[in-house]
Amino acid sequence: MQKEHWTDEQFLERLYGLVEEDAHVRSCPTCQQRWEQLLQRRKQWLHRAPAFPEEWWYEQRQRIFHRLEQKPLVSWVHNWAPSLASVALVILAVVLLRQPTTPPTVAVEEAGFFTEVYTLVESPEPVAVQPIYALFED
Amino acid sequence: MDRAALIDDFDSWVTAEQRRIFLLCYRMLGDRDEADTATQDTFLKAYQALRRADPPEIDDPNKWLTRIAVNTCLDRLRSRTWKFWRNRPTEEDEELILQLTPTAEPNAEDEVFALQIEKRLREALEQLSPNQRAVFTLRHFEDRSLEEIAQLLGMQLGTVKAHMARALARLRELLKDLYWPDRRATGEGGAHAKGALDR
Repeated sequence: MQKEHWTDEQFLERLYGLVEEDAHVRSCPTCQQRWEQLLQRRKQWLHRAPAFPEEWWYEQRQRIFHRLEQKPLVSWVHNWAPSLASVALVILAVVLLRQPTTPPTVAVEEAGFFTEVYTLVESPEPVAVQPIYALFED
Repeated sequence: MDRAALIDDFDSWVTAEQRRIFLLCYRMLGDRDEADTATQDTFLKAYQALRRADPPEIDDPNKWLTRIAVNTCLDRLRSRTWKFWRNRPTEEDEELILQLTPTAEPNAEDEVFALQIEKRLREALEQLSPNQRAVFTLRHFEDRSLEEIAQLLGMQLGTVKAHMARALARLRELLKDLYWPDRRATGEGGAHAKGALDR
């Protein structure tokens, strides 16, 4: 048989159903007394009841009965409205993000740029020579 | 009680079970308004289920109602993670719910201490996961066996025990204050409780 008294932890675990009472608690007057005191104190706690005014309970019953009379669709919409709103937002965000971000003028600018580069590459003389030619022109 | 009788006498059933269901919801959710809504939802779901073309098998209507209430609260607790804007309990709420009337007549000091513990317990429950909270609430406030809790929550007994063990580990000091208030005054750390040798 266990020679040590039960600890607070063991009593708590017993109280909340995690361990079974063992032979020591049954035979030890000290532990038995503590266990009974614990049960007594717990009983006091369990019998505490809220002191809500009777009108409050009545009003709550009215709220319940009012909702029972409503059509289920209202409740369905009420429950799903936040989810539907979230989905709508996500769809809107996706649509906005999928819009083309580069304006079509960029393609024209790119075409001009490549034409210019092509002209430079094809020209046998460097561009810097052109101002010198200009000096000899009439 | 059969299904037809429950529907016919639904008003009386609401009146009889309303306080128990509200208290259960309040203890799980820790907020009066949320508990109020959850209580309404519970009865609404029960009523709609009873009126369905394929109604559920109900052996024990009160246990069935408890299961609906617990699941409703669990859904709310799980969705809470995303509710950053959730209102904290107001002072008015605190006062109202703290007006608890014990059946015995304790002295004023005991009563003040009891209110403090209630408040601390509610705050501590906020720190538990939804499942730990459900398991602990059903045991602590409703005094249900772990087997019954497993049945109510649709869990294995071992899972319920694991949730309870974790909840107890987090609430241990608070529960010691609750059950051994004399230690408060003496500052005794529980020398006896630490496992003194049986002499």
